[in-house]
Amino acid sequence: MNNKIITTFILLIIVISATLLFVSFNQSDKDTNQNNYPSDDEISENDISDQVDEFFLSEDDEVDIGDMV
Amino acid sequence: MKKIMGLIIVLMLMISISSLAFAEEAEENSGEGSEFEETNENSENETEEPEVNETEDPVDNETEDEIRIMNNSLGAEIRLLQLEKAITRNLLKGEMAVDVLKGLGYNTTDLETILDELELVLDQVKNANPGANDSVEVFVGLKLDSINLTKQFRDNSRELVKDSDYKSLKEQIKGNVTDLENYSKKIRNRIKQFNRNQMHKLYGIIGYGNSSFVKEYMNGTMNLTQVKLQLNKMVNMREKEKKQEIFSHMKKEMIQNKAFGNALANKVKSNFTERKQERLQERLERANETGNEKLMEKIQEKIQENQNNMGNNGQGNSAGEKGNDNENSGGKGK
Repeated sequence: MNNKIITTFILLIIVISATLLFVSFNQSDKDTNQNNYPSDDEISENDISDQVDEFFLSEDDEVDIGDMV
Repeated sequence: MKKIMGLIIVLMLMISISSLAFAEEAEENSGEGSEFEETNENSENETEEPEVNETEDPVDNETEDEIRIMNNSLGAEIRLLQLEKAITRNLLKGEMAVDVLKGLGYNTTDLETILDELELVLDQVKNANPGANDSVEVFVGLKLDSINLTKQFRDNSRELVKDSDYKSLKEQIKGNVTDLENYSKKIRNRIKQFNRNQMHKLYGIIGYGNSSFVKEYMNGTMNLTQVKLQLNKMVNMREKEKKQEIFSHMKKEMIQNKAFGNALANKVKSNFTERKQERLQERLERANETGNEKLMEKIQEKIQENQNNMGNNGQGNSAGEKGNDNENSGGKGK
């Protein structure tokens, strides 16, 4: 009788510890991901293209001072 | 047996409650994080707010973008040439407008005086040295003067002319827009040189030694869009880590550029009124040489007004000066 109760307690403690460990591990994993640089999937082709665009000046670029009339 | 079952049920309940509490706590934490981020963003916006206020700023966002490339004499030369072209175009349009209005019997003396001053501004732009330390201040000041004189001309002619005549004047000038091909060619050529330098810089970041695209761009076999496409391909073909490294490098370069533009804008603002006084004095001397009485009178009035602003604003606070200056308040207009 006593043995059964002790075994059940031990099993429950193991389950609780496993659950807590799993939850805390997931949480720290999330935090690390948030602090890291954007992953490759996050740098889209558009991001690259925007950055490349910023390097150059359009050949038709003009300074605008408004119209006389 | 019943006791054991009861104990198990109680324990199960405790586990469920503790995991629920844990989950809630985690959610709260992430919520706090985003709130903190929001507060941070808000405070950043708050500190930047005064600079966003365009009506009181002699360096608007567009001008700040323009001066970013002026960290070398080529960039400065491009901007000064572009300004020279814009003023020349406006002078031609203004002269055309005066001719039309004279033909219609209007008194155009005031409009002609504005054109005379704009002509002096053009001379100042032509005489500006792109390699000088103060080329940015010179560019910003002369650009603002050109915008103001253009607006003055527009407002004066609008007040002077009847609605029906103004419409026909607009149409006549629109139909006679000069291309100023010589300027366009010269500017395009300088921009190509600027882009060539940027290409070398980008190839350096990407780690690509072959410069065949640069040659093809310079001799006209490839246009800028094609070069950009090739560069995009090159970056996208790289491995994950290298791609990230290139991206952050490019971003860093652009952030440095923006910071440079911002620092220059602040420098321009710090002594804007004093520099305006110098420009006006120079124009007054030129007007004196030509014996243009009306123009001299007008410039003297401006000098007086600027001096008053300097007195009112202590150390020549440019922002106030611009805010008080009626010429500046209307922007470029179209």
